[in-house]
Amino acid sequence: MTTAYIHPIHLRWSDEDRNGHVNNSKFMTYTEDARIAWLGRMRAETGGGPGSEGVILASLHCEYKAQVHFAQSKELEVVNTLRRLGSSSVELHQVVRLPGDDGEVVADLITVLVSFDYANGRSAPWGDRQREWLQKFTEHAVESSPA
Amino acid sequence: MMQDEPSAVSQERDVPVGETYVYEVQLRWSDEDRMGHLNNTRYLTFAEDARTRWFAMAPRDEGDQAGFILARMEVDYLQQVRTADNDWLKVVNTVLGVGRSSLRIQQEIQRMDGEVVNRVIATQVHFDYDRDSSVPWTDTQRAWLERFATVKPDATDPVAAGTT
Repeated sequence: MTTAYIHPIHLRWSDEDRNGHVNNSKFMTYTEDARIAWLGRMRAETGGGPGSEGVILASLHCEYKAQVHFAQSKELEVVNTLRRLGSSSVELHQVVRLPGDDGEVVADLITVLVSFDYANGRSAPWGDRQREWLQKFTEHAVESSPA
Repeated sequence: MMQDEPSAVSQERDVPVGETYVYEVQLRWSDEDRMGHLNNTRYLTFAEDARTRWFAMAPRDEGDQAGFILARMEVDYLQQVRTADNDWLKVVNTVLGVGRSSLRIQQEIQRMDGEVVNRVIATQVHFDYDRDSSVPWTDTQRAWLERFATVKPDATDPVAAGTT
């Protein structure tokens, strides 16, 4: 049974662009907020320590599945699971969908984060507590296309 | 037309007091700037979102094409806000005055505990975008807007007094 971290997103009127749909760049902001909230919870629940002080974005891959119109949906959610855990990195699957288990998927992202020591400008391996915490979110059954 | 008459709001009348429209804003990490606080421009976006939802509820006659357009804003920055300490803010909206085709509103941005961090005073105009001109409020719209009038307007203010 996979645990997913679900982060709700409230759209803003100005998220739409001239095309009358949510602008492509906003999905990066929505998934960013989901990661910040999720890792904030990791810090709170693991008590901090090495490998939990900061993360930096290393890679992002986004597939746009459907347009989102503010007039039709003012809320979305980001469903976050873990695909792969490295010594100081993590590969996430972030699915943006309309709210609810049956909600239409509007964007599908793979993001790689690196645990990062900003003071020294280099990666910082996860601690044991962080590894254990992150592994709870491992994606066992990938329903969308495998990498 | 009665365009030079003071609006009903500014007359002694039984205006219900206390009706407000409250819109809650979910903050985003990227709302903060390099100073580590909410960037000044974000408050305008929050106020815009509140107005969008609020005015979507305004009554409109069959075939009425007119919408709301922003004509003026003044913003008081009262407190800094950090997203690390606040996930949400709320925008508390009231009407200060109703003109012939304009509307003056107050939008107080508050922390969830009620502390006021920012105050926006905005003038909106009832506007036909196709004809590029203002349109007087209907009586129904005026009555709806006046329900949110909680502050007695300043009679020397032309918009609040309804002379614009």
